Amino acid sequence: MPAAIDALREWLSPWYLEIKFVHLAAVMAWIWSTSVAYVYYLVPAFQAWRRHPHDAGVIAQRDWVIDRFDRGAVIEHIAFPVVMISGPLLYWVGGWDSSATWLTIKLLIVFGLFVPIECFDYHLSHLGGNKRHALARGGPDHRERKLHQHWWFLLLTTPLIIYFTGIVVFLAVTKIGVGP
Amino acid sequence: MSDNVPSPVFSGSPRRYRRLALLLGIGSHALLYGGMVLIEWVWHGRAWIVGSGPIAFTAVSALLLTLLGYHSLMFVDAQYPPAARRSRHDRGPSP
Repeated sequence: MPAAIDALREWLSPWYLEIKFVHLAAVMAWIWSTSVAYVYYLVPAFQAWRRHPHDAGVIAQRDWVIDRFDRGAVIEHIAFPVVMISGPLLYWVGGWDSSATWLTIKLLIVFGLFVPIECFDYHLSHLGGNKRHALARGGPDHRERKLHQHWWFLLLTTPLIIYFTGIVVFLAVTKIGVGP
Repeated sequence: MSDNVPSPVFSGSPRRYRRLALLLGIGSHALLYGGMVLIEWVWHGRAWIVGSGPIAFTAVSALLLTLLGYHSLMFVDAQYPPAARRSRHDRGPSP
């Protein structure tokens, strides 16, 4: 079995740069695919709702925007598994290990923060937390609860994602020497 | 613009955002620094990670994220500007 794994690694090693291309393309889609919708559509609609929480027109607009946003997150949520497959593949094929401290920090951020965030995001956008599904399953009150939950999620993850994606991309590009 | 309808009130508030920003800044850095200590010091026996440099860097970074987190929470959830200073832009786009 180890011989077969070594053979597979040997076979993949000439494709390192191609795997890296797939990884980078997926990372770009994961980071940026929802940004315009979030900044220019979702946030203004929710800010209007926070200032006028009982205005029927504002609520209708908020509900439409979050429904579209749930669907728009599909690109991000296809890209993320591609990142999570191509990244470890690069680590393995490239022969990286924990002596590269910049990579250890990067992987800690990815597995310690991004993976849990994305798991919850899948739930909110496509599974039990999807607002369209929530309305069909539990009625308007259930949908409203899920929407509030999603808004909490977006509020709390926005600074984390901005801060730590910046650090992760910086580490990946510069491969800066950290430690001894 | 439209009719008023009863709607549950969102539970976010500036006081809550201060606590949450602290939690985000300190919690995330405790997790990452703890992970680095486990990997570098406990696993590989490399003591540099418990030196003053990495600890100071982690503390400054946690402070930065706490400040960014607080301002982000307040801005994204429409707590800026305060109600008294809101202008004609306060409603956002018309439906």
